[in-house]
Amino acid sequence: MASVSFEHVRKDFGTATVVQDFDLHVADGELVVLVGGSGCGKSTILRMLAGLETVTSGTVRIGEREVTHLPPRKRDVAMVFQDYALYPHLAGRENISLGLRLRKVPKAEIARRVSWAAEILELQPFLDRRPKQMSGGQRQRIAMGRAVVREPAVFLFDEPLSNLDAHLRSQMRHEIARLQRRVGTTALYVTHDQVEAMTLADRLVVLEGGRIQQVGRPIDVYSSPANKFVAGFIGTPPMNFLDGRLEREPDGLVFVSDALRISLAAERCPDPAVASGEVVTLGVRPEDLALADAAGRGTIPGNLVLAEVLGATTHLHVEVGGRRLIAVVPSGPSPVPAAAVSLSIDRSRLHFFAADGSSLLLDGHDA
Amino acid sequence: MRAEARSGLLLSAPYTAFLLLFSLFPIGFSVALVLLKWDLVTAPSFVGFDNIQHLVGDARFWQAIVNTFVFLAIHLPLQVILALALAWSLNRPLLFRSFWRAAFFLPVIVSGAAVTILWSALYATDVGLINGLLARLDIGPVPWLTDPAIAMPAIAVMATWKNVGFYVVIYLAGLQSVPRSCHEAIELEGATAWQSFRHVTLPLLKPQTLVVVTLSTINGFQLFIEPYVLTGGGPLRRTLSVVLYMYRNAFSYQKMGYAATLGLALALIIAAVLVFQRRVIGSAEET
Amino acid sequence: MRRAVFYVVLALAAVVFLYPFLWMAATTFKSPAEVGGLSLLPDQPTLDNYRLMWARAPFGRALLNSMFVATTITFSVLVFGSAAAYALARLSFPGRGILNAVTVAVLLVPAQLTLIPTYTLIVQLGWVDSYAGLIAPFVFNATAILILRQFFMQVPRSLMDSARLDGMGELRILFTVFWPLAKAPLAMVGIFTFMGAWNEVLWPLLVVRDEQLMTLPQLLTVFSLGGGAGPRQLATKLAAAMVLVVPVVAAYTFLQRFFIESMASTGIKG
Repeated sequence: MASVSFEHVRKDFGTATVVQDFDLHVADGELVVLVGGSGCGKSTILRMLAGLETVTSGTVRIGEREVTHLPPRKRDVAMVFQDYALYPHLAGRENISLGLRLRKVPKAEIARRVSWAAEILELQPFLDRRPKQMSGGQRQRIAMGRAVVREPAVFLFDEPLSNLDAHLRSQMRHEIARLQRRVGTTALYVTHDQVEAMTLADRLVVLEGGRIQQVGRPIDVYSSPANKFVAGFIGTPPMNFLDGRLEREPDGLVFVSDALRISLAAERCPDPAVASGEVVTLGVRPEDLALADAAGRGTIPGNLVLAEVLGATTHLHVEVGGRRLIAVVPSGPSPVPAAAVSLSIDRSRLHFFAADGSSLLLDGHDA
Repeated sequence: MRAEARSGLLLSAPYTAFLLLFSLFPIGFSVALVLLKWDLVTAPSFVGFDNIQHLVGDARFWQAIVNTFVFLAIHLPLQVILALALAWSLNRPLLFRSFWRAAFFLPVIVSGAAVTILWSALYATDVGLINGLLARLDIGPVPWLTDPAIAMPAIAVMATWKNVGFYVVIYLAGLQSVPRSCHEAIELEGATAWQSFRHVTLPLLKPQTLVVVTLSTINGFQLFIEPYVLTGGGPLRRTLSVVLYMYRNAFSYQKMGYAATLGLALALIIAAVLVFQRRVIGSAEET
Repeated sequence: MRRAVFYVVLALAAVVFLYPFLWMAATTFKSPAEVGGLSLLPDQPTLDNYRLMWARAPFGRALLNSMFVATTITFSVLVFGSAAAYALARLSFPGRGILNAVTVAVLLVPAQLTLIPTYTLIVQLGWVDSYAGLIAPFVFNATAILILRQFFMQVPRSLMDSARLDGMGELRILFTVFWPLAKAPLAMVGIFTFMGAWNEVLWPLLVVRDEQLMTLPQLLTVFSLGGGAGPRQLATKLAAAMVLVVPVVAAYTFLQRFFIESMASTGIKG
């Protein structure tokens, strides 16, 4: 068990810089999730920690040891791959124990560890089958068993659930969380799925274009996104964005767009230093929109285009001034498509972004 | 009869006739020939099991079998190791990859007769290339094809040279089908390059190895042009191959019955050897 | 820099495989005194070896014989073989299953078993020393038929049905609909069939004794068995071998990808 740090790590592939000036410290025992779209560099960072990619510049440490240029076999990390990477010609049991056998761990110790892994991951029923004879979920568990028996300093997970169907994915998510908590090993987890990221992480690292967009606890990243990208990436359905400008009026700041005007609450305003006429993007999460009983002050008029009933909640797609907003509301008697509706906004939960994407809310301003 | 059935029969009729005449009839007739003595000129005479008895006691035949095993003992390991080594070297991003591959494959497509003549020049004791190179190193001329103990191994080396390129291509395809993540996984587990090769790559290449061994074995039992041109079966009959002996019995001695007996015996021996090989390779388990 | 090691190893291996051919070519232009030397450029190049070789045995005729035999066999295998493959793949007729099974079974039988009986058959048919004898046992090829059948089975039935509706007969369908789609397997089959026929030497050595009818590898073999082992004889024999090697190498230089794919994926060697 050990901490992990990246200091000014950079990765170039030829002339393209895939990871730029990456700094991160992962505390001992923490589960940190790297999340972002494809091509954002998250897998590359993981693989640099594993030693499967070279580091162009910068330093990588595991615990106190600098491992930047060490070959993978010397780093004491275990990895769970997206395609499981099980050895096709070996049974589950041999797949798990091969690494230990290579390191000449005594047979008794190997047996002890394998049965311990089998117990916590419930591997017994298929331990003696070949990977070909296992389901995707079983293979994934064997892959985790293989990582766990090594008792490594760090666990690495490279999109391990992407190849599983939705139901299995949520089940395995719980398994992974449970496993990591029980074993207590530092873990780095890569995924493009923000639900996985939110539910598993002690801390999230949101990446885009090889750069860190934000690091923080899931709840903080959700409620105080540092920029428009993070705001739009985290949260399902994604945050609604409206472009417009701020106008300073006698009774306060007003957000004006071609679709609507909203007077902003004093407690939740962008930086007062912002000039009048400044172009901003307003962000409001679907869960912060509600159906108003009637049109009135502070409501937004629109037309209902589509209502998706998911069960307890319903997603309302409302067209407002040429833009489509999504609101998540509790299911109930819902209006008919094409009807005129009014949405009310929780003004204490608005987000503002400058033209360059950065959040305009001062630090300390949160809902 | 339906039009389709009629067309089907018509279109396949020439092939059916061919199979009957040139496949099924010969197979059946070979068994009959074993029981006959025939010189193709006079009428065949029935001789019962004489041919088989003769075969069992025929020193030349058994010498040919021994020779073939000597050949295989050298050719098979050489083939597998070289083909695997070259394929493994090629299995990485390299410049001119298709050039290397094409170079190794060239001897495969050149006629066996031409290759044999080329090597008769390479192995020639006085003016051959190999002894010429060895002379530079002050190594005396080696009687490659005239020393009874060296001749068959020399042919084995030549056969390896001719065919290895083919197996390089087969192993290369096999290597490329091993998922990269398996290698990465075992690397993370602490394996050295050799351990990774031994525990992941090699076991996964078993199907290819079986192909290499099987085809090379069949090739070894079918040796003909090499001993025919290089040594005539000598020296001291140490390079006599069964097919060469069979050819002589048919073409030179006019003994069709006995030649067919040789052919049948050879087919049975090949089948037995292949079954044995499949058992051995198929069951070798890697831990 | 570890990569450099691989380049060295591969270069050495390439030399081992290519140098002998270059040496062979060079030697054919050397006079007896220079034969055996390691240099690739003769000091006094001569065409004597080629002149001798050409005069002593009918290599030109043999080249034509080989071309004729190999081409005829390839044509037959491709045309008549695909007719049979087509019938097996797409037409239902009584006995189809048996024919399929026999085709596969035949591949398991080693050639040695059928060699002598087939020879006696050819003798009885009076086809010794004739082109018929050289060609007949090869007009169909089970491997080729299996490959083509496999491919034809994957052509969508709808293409066949719409062609039938247009009034096309089976042969028409085969050659105007299936053949254009089958360029890759046909090329593959064509190459390994041609190479196999071109390089075949044991069979001609059995059925042909007349020098005028010998195929090129056969004549080469016979030619090389005569004469001594002196330098002139060596160079002349190599010159004869060059006649066999050069066309193939020339074709290979331009088409190597096709050669390799064809022969490696069908398991057939030259």
